[in-house]
Amino acid sequence: MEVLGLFGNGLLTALQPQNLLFAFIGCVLGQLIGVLPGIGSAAAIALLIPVTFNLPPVPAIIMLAGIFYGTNYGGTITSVLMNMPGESASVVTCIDGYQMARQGRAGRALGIAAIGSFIGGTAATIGLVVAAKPLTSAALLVGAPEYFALMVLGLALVVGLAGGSLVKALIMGILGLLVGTVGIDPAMGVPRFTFGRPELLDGLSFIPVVIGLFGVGEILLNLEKKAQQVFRTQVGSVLPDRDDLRRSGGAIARGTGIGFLLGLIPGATSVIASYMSYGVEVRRASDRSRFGRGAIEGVAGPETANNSFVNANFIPLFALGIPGTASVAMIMGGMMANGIIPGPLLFRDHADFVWTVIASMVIGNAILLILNLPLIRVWTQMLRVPYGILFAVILEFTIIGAYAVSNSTFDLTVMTVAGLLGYLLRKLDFPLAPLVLTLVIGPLMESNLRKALEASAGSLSTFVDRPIALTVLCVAGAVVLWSVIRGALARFRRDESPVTPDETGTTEVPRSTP
Amino acid sequence: MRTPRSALVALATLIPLVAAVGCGGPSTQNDVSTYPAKGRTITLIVPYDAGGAGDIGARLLKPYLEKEIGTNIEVVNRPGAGSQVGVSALARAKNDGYTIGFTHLPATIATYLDPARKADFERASLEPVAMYVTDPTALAVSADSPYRTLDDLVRAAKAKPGKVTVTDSGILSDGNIACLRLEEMTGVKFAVVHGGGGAETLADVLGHHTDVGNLNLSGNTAELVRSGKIRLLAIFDKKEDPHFPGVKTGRDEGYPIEVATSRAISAPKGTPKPIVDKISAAIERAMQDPEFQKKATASGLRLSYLDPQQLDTYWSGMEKQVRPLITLAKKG
Repeated sequence: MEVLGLFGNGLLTALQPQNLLFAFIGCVLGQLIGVLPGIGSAAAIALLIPVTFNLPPVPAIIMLAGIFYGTNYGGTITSVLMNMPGESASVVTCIDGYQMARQGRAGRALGIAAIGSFIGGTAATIGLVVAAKPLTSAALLVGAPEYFALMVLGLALVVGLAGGSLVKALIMGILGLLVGTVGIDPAMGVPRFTFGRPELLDGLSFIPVVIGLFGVGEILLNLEKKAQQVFRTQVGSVLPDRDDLRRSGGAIARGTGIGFLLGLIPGATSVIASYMSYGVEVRRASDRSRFGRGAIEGVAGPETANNSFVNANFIPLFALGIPGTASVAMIMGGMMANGIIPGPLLFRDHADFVWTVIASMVIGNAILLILNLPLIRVWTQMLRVPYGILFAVILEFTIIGAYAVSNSTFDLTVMTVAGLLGYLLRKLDFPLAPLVLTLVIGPLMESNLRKALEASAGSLSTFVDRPIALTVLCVAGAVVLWSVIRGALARFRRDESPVTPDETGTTEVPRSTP
Repeated sequence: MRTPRSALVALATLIPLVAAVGCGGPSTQNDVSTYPAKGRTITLIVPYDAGGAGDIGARLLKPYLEKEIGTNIEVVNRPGAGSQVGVSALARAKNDGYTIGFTHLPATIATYLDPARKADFERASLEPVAMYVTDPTALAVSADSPYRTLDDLVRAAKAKPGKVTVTDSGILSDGNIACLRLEEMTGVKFAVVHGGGGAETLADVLGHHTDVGNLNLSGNTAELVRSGKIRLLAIFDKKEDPHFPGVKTGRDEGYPIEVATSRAISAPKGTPKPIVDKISAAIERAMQDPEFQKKATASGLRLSYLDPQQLDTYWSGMEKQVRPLITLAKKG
């Protein structure tokens, strides 16, 4: 196969010491950026682009790409250990990953996340090798109506997944949609709900809201407890046992697929990929009550999906010159600054370059896996720090993270309010996940709905006339219908044999004896 | 929703701030002969996300401008609300020549002219310094589109009013303005789709989700045309472009429209004229540096310097074009 030959040549070039070094630097930087909340890969790549002017193009882009996919490895760490997403794609990992940490399974959570990330990232890169062009053409079939339909499916999968009350989940979902409407509207440029404050013109910043809801809310909740009740001090094994593997295998495979498909579509975000994967895992589970209490699939699936997403994101860039996310747009900027213009002729005109960068992604993912597994023991040592000290450090991190997003003290207010809200909502047993999802999806859903309607002169028939949009909407309808039926059945059964009332995910874990 | 930016940016802003406080001493502001004062940093506000096209262009210029002007320059990203947040910060900044910033046209003009945007600045709040990049607007179709000329498009839109879809990068963007002008001239009505920017428009054109897309010429547009994936119907510029052989201007096709998205650099109102001239001249010299030009060309930047006077004239012309379109654009 010609492709394999080209890939082999790329692999040989990527293994040259200089290229290997820059892949390593990129991965380490990405990992660190992932750990720090508030700093995204996009900003990090932007700041490093001038550095790459003094490098040859191949190592420069290898490094920038490494930052991009490395970030998703790092983002998991604070989600699991502190309930604070280091990267927006790791928000959903907080739900079960943090519970695993509290049960003394932090090592396994991080271990399965690293393994899943490796599999997802590598599989997506193989997809890039095998069929970049046809895949991109297929992804281009997704226009505004299809995109809107996909968002509806995402909502349908996730609403009610927290296991608790469907009504509460819906309330939270709608609250997220409402908050998402703050700012300048996407079609007509009119400010909404900004109360004359220029800081609100662009809407509420996602990162301060999320680290407030999760991170600060968690700290407030833990302050109610005696110092040593928060974590079991043992960290547990890093490698998953047979039971973990049995539960995670399918989740990793499905996460790879979901992340890959969404990564192909320009304009999607990895947050949606990880959420969809989580939604699918909950829907498939025979015992849904495990989710929110440390189900390993809830970590394995989404963490795989966001890495698969990231590597698939290179496919539309390399095949057609369309950057799918802000980070990839910046990598494109870095390529152009080095005289390599991404477009349909890239594989023909710069074959050596492309194949080397692709090969470096396989190497980079391996580096990250090798780097991460032993490091887990180091990270988890953090849990040995007495909580009284740890929470102060975490709080400091959240403040820096929220401020760093736009260098604005307004975001600190946003974070504080979100933190208090998060605390209250948790006390009242309202799930946070639907709120965060609709906060991401809402604006995307709105702009695509309005684009679709602008193109069809306001006619809703566009959703019926377009087969892909119609199919996806029907699937979403079926998902909702099924969960209503399932809920009714469950209630029917519960009436027959009363069970213990639903527990929340914040169950106290007894202190273990060291 | 805003995307996360970097703590490094925060640090980069903090360091000169601390330095400025540390080196206090008697102020020598407004004294042109000592401008820029030794050790004082000039802040260059970029009202867009770190890493966007506008930001990369600014960071590319930075080292060359530093060399010409003789002091450090800090690029500070103040993104949000389609540049409204950053330009507003620029207009409010101290007018001592130590803060300048990008005011992209027509985005800045549309922001202060549109009453709905409630901008806290107007044209008089800003002092034009220099034009850096001018990037003309073009109409693009996919390779298999039936339209080959602007006339084909206008005829099709006449035959099916409100059915031919045109995607732009947002309301009152340069592409939207070109489209509104075309409607005004010919009396046709397009179905205008307000998209989110170049990459999105490109995906819509290539995926046949829109009949026509408004693109700018920088970036990889030339590469896509060369590969035969897309075709340009017209470029709304003064003259034909050597990078796009055979593509006519709007004027040549009988539709005399000239629109571009332009990266102008401005200072807060009241910045002393001699300082403005000094900065402008430094920008001009930096842009002539052969090494800089090589990098700028590779990045697809379409350099086009204008001095403060010329920029002022350009600004007035653009404003004249935009003003009557504000209400028209809102009608949709």
